[in-house]
Formats: sequence, C-alpha cells, structure tokens
Amino acid sequence: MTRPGWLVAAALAVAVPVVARVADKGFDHPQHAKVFVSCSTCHRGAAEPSAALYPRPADCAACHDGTVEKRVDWAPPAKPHASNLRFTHQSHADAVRKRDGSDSTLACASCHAEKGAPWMTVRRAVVDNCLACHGVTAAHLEAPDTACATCHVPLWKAPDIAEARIASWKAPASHQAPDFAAGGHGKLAEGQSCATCHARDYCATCHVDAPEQRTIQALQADHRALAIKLPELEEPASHREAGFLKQHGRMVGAKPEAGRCAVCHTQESCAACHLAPPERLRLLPVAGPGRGAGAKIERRRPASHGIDFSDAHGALASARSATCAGCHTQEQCLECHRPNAAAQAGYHPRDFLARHPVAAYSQEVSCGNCHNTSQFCQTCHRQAGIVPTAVLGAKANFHDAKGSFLLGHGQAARQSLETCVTCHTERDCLTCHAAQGSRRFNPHGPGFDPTRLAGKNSQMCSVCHGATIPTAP
Amino acid sequence: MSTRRPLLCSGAPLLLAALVSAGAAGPLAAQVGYRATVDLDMQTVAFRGWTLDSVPAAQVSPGPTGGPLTSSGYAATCPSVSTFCFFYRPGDRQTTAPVGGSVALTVWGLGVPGLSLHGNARMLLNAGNVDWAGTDPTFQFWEGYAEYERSALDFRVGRQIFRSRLGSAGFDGVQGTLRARGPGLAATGYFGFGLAQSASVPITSDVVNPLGEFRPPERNWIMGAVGAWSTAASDLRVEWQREVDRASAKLASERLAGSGTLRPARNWALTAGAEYNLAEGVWGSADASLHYTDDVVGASFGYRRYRPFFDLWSIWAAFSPVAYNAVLGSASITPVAGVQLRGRAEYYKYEAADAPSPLVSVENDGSRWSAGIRVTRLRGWAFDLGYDLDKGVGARGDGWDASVRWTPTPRMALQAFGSTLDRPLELRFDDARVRWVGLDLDFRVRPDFSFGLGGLYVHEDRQRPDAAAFDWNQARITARVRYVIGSRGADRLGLPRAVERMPSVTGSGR
Repeated sequence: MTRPGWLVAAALAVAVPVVARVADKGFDHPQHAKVFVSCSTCHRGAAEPSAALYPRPADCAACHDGTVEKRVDWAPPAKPHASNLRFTHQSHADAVRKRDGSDSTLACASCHAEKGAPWMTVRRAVVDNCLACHGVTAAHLEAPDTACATCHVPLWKAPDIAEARIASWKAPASHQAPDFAAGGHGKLAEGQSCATCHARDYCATCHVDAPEQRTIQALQADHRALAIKLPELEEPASHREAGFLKQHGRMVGAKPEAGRCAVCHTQESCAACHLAPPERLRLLPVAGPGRGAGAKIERRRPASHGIDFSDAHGALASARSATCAGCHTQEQCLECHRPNAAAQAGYHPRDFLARHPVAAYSQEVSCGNCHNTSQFCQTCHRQAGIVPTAVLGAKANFHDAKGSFLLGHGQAARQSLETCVTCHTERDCLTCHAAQGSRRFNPHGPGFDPTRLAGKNSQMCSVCHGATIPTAP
Repeated sequence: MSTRRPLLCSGAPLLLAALVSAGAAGPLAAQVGYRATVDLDMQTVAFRGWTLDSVPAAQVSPGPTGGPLTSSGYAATCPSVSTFCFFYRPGDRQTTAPVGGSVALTVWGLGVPGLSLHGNARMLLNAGNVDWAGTDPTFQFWEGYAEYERSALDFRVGRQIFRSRLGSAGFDGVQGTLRARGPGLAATGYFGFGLAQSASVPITSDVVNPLGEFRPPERNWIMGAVGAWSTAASDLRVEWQREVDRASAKLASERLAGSGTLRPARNWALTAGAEYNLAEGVWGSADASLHYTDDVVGASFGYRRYRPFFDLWSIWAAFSPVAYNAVLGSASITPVAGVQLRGRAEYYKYEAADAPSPLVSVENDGSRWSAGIRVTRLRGWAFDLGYDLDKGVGARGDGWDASVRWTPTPRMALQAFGSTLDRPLELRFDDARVRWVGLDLDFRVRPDFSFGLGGLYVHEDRQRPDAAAFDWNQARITARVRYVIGSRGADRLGLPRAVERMPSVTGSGR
C-alpha cells in the first residue's frame, strides 16, 4: 500500500460508526480478506474528499452477479452516520501528516483493529487506540473530564444523534463520586468538556440560578440533553442539623451563602413556610422559564406545636412573636383572634353555640382575647331574653337552680365576674352595691386596694361613693 | 431575573391599580408584589331563648314540690313586693344568616426596599330576622398600615393590632422596633388612639355598648413597650402597656408582663409567664409548663393561673374578681404509625372569694378532662373519636365527638361528624341534651381557590320538670369560599395536606 493509501486507510479506520455499522449489519469484512488488499479499494472517500466513502452497489455486483456469487441486496447509507466525534477522515489525515510528516505510517488498522489482528478483522474504532495516540493513558470513561473535548464535539454540534442514543451513554467514572451531583460537579464544570454530553437545558433542570451562572449560560440550549437521567438529589447534610431551621435565615442573608441557597431554592421555596415575604427572600430568584423549579419544601409542624398548642401557644407567642412571624401572618392570627360571625367553627369546636356556656362560665380561656364581650355576648343574650329587664329581684329568678341565689351570689360573682357581665350591667349591681342611695352592700373583696385604685382612677370610686371617697383604714 | 406578571393582571386590587395609575407605573409596576386573600363565609343559624311572662299571684297554686306553679304548668317566682308571679316560657325561634366577606391585602416592592402596605377589612351582613354576634358594624376595618422593615428596624404607621401576652390591642398610631440581631435583642414601642377591646371600633361606639352602659366619651390613649432577648436556647420578653382615659386624664389600665421560653435540650421546652396589674396592685394570669415532643410522644405538664382583667373606667375591678389556679397536663402518643392517642387533664381551684353565703353553695373547684384517638392507617381516611368532660363551677358538660374524614385526592376532603353534649346550665334549673350530626366538604379547585360546604342537624332537648321543658331542632348550612390572588412569587398556598391531616388542635378534634 502506498503511503497516501495508508493515511487514507488510517483516516478511514477512525470513522467508527460508519464502518462499524457496515461491518456489523452489512458487509462481512473477514469473509473478504482474501479479495481486497486495500481499504481504499472500496472506501476511496476516506482518502479523497471528492470520492464516495462507500462503494457503489454495482461494484459489489461485479462479483455478486448471481453467477459467480449470489446476488446481495446492499446499498450505501443515505447519509453519514450521526456522530459527535471531532473528526473527518480528511482533516484527521491532514493533522497526522502535519504532525508526523509526510512519511507517516498510520494505517486504517491503527484505529479499526486490535493490535495484531488478522487483515480485515475490522471493528468499530478501538477507543484505547485513539486515546493512546492522543496521549490519554486512562480508559475511555475513566479519562479526565477535560479530555472529552479532545475527540468529541459539543452535543449541540451533533444534531443528528437521537435522544435514545444519548440516553444510553454511560457516565464517566468521575460522575460516580458521592458528592458529584450535590456539588462536586461544579468544580469540573469550567470548560467545554461538559458540553460533550450536556446542554443548558440539563443544568437548568436543577439549577434555579441557571440564568445567573456564567458556566451554564456558556452552554448551548439543547432539549435532547434531558434524555440523560437526572441524579436523585437529597437535601444537604447541613439541612438535617438540629439548628438548621433556626439558623437558615441568617445563612440566606450572609453572602456568599445566599448564592449557595439560590442553587436549589426559589422564592417559592421560602413561601412554602414563610407566608409573609421576608426581606431576604428577594435574594433568591423567582421561579420561571430557564431555571429549575427548585427544591420542594414541605411545611412541617415544629416539635413545639403539640396537641394542645392551640391552648398553649399564647406563652410561646408572647415570648417571641418574631419566631411566629417566620411562618405565620397576622391574618392567620385574626382567623381565631377576632370574631368572624359568618365563618363556621375555627378555633372553637363545631356548634360552639351549644357548648359555649360551659366554656365561658368555667373561663377555660379568656373570651375577651378575641371577642368584645359587651358587643359579642350581649347582642345575642339580649335577644334571647336572658338580660335583666327590671330591678333584680323584682321579677323572676333566672338562676333558679340555686334557691335564693340573689342573696348568696357573691362567691359565684367573684369567681366568674367576666361571665356575669355578659348579661348584667353596672346598673344591676349598683342596685345594692353602692355607698349612696342603695342597700350599701360592700362589693370589695380580696386584693382590693382603695388607696391605690383611687390614686389611679378616682372616677371609678365616684360611681358609688360620689365625691366622698373613703381612704383605707 | 424577575419574571413577575404585570401588576394589573388577575384582577389586581383597586389599591394596586391606583398606585400604578398614580405614577408608579413602569419600573415600579414591574417590581410590585401583592397578595390578597378574599374570604366569603355564610351560615344559617338559629337560637332559642326565653320570654319573661307573668300571671296574677292569685292564679298560681303550689306544685308537687311546694313551689308556685301556674295553671299552664310553669314554675313561677312570686316576689313579695308584687301582686304578680313571674316565669320564663320558651322563647321564639330566632333565625339569622350572617354573611361575611373579608380581604387581607399585602403589597410590597413599592420602590423603597422594605416598604410594604397591609390591609385587613371585613364586611358582615345579617340576612335573618335578628342580629348575630359580631356583625355590627357592617364594615369592619381591622388593619391598614404601612410598614418599613429592614433587618434592624421595623416601623409601622396606621391602624394595627399589637398582640402580646397582655392581649390584642388595636390602635391607630405608630409602632417601631429596633433589633440587634447579633445578641438577639429587640425593643418595641407603640403609641396611638386605642380601639375597644377585640373590636374594630373605638370604645365610644354604640356598637360595643348594646345595653347602654357607661363608656368613656373619648378614645383612650394607648402606649406600650416591649423588650426581648432571644438566643438559641431561650427567649425572654418583658412588656408594659398603659391606657389613659383622655376625657378624665385618668389611668384606664397599666400592666406589666414577663414571659420566657427555655429550650434546655432537644425536644424539651419550658415556658413561663406572668402578668402584674400595676393599676390595681395585683397579680394577673400566669403560667408555667414543661413540654416534651418527639415523633412518637408529646407531653406537657404545667401550672396556670387565670384572673380576668377589667379597665378602670368600669366598676368591675372594685368587685374584686378572684383568680383560679390550675395544674394541667396533656399527652399524646403514636404507638404505631397512623394511630394516635391523646389525653388532657386539668384541675383548678378558685382562690378564696371571701363572700360566704349560708343560702347558696357554689363549687369553688373543677376539672376538665378529654381523651381521644385518631386513626389514619388507611390512606385517605382519618377516624377520630374523643370524649370531653367538664366538672366545673356552676357549669359542666360531657360529650362525645366522632368524625370520619375522607381525602380521596389532595384537593378534596369530605368529613362526616357527630357529637353529643349533656350540659346542665349554669346556675339555672335546666338540663340540656344536644345531639348533632353533619357533613362537611372542602374542595381546593386550585392552589389559590377553594370552597367548602357544610350541613349540620342539631337537636336540643331542654329538660325541666315543668312546662318550660321543650325540645327543638335546626338545620344549619355553612358555605365558604377562599381566593388568593397575587403577583408571581407571591401566591401563597395553604397548609400542605399532610399538615392538615395531623391531629387537629382546633375544630371538632380539639
């Protein structure tokens, strides 16, 4: 074989998919080992750009005419096989010639046959041969990620490769590292090697901050990249630490931590819990086209919110309302801490109308925390006929479960005064409990400090005592 | 970076439209974020009370127990000063249908970082023949303030509600907070014209005085201050609040409160707090409790004291209301996944009232008990059964609550429930036995739009040995719609279903 012939043969040998497909599915090269002495006999195009890479069917028919040999049904491929190799036979031949000089002895078999293989025992390109020639000592998928671009063009430059084939590509060994998906890949992402298999669409599937990442934006868009299986991402170990919930707000606010949060989190992530938008929320991007949907946050009930939390939350809320505000808005407080007459039971059990006398009288909680007891209670009590309409004792005894209740109501009144005033007014009590013009029963009991009260608001004293307010003995 | 929707799409509130049209359009409009929650609620409801009646004293006769009985069988009271005897006959059935709508609006991104507007208003109408509690006035403006918030500063001006251990204080005024995040310190001060307790109107409004009692002729001044210190293991807070009757320049109230939470170890918390009434010189309500919560067990044990609070413009503080002291505990346990047992107990006893009466004996202690079980082992189903018992001072009750909740999809929940309650009325010779069953449907059409429908049948039997005994029933219907609108990134979802399926501490499961 002449020297150019070797070069052509070598170039042809690297045309992996093309030749391999023919060898695998069509032409049986070993069977013809004794017929052909040169690759370029059939594959002239590998050496001469103007010539066809494959023989014509008529060339085969020279032997396979039905007489000498049986006829065969074969036709060259209509178009070159899809490939992402940074390669043409001509350019590769030129490169070899330029590097090694015009006396280069690179032959087709250098790439298309195992070392020492018999003549025409060709196969797809032996990748190790390619790597060895190009100075890469590791096996194909164990080669450094930076080496990919040596032989491969970016995915977007290989538009004919189908998604199914992309999906079948095996990941390099570097991608198997435990922290590769969670963060390790970022350190390797500089350069074009990633683009061999990936495109911007793939990165944007996870990266919320894809539009802001220069490395990602340097990639072309190509939806076929989504054919590669996405990694299963787990929350970082830091997110599982005990104090994370309490500390994460400060992390968001402390750059460059804010940038790290923005890799996985959008403003919507925050909104899963933070019903009121915190100021720092603006450091994160808003979900939208071109960026990942962001980590899905499940709003969890804090450990402190136990079964009786509706009754016990007051102390906690009082101790640090800012903590509550992290997840709750005032509107939520108002759902219970304000009468909404038209709404069905919220804080209270269903049909609290029937239940409320028990709860109110025993003062399990303070009705006044949410209701204006004058307005709220008396509105109905007045219409229900249980508000006194005359001087007490002059008509019926409403509290008829206790005989002579009017004469012995003192203990009940001091214990449940808040309930009494939902039906009774000051007038009712002043009928007897006043120092002037009544029966002058003393209403003052334990804890009463006349001097102190008179000093704070003597008007209250004047209601019963007029201008002559007695002082403490 | 921003991909917010245009301001005026999706029926943005008029306020936003006004902002934009007022010259804030363009760059500002592109930055404005807003969120509005619109709620519509309706229910039909009825109640039945008493009607005072009388007969000439000559027309009553001794009943089986010796007391006076009218010819129609009513137990009567015959005052010695009157020639008539009086009695209560069952009152008319009062029906009404309160309809309410509320809007809660938050607007931010107004061109000044940290500036936001907040509003909260409600409109309530009565469609029945009687007034219903809380429906007056028709339009209720609860909150409307501008807020400027930075990491170390928070300033509000307008109508706002300040919530603290001392209760909810509504006022028209200003509030400011300074924070030092490093050491976890914060100081808050507020000042303004006060609103009536738990109301959207001032104390001068007739709305909060249906019986025509004395009320201050002018709105109170209200002022207060709060200091807070927060660390990873503790939160401490001290509050002071004073109200001044402007008409008399006298004190209406002045109180001090302290509260704190300690978190000594993971899953453990100790909370405590107390109030002191500076005006009266007496201690108010207080509590202290220890909490433990993990994935399997939740428990708390504590003490609390309750003493009602009255403003000094009324006479009630001089009537010396007494406090009760209680010990209480609660526990819940999840022995196997999907089964939770819960229980709660409280014993309370009033302090000495110093009002002995040989004629009337009134209990001075009581207890509250509840227990229940919730089963969620079947996917989409939740079964709940609970029992409550109150043994109290002048009032008690016991009853069962049962419910079955079916959640076939994350967006829909159907619940059937039934309850019983036996409740001797407080200080009245009258037992009531109530039974009710109902159905409730919640449907979340979209994350921002949901509605609910409910039906409830109630039967009440008021048992007396005289003609005043009666039984009656009513069917109630409830309907509600919630719609959340907002700019992109501001749409807020409700609680996830997983949380909603947790044992409820409100509603029927409580």
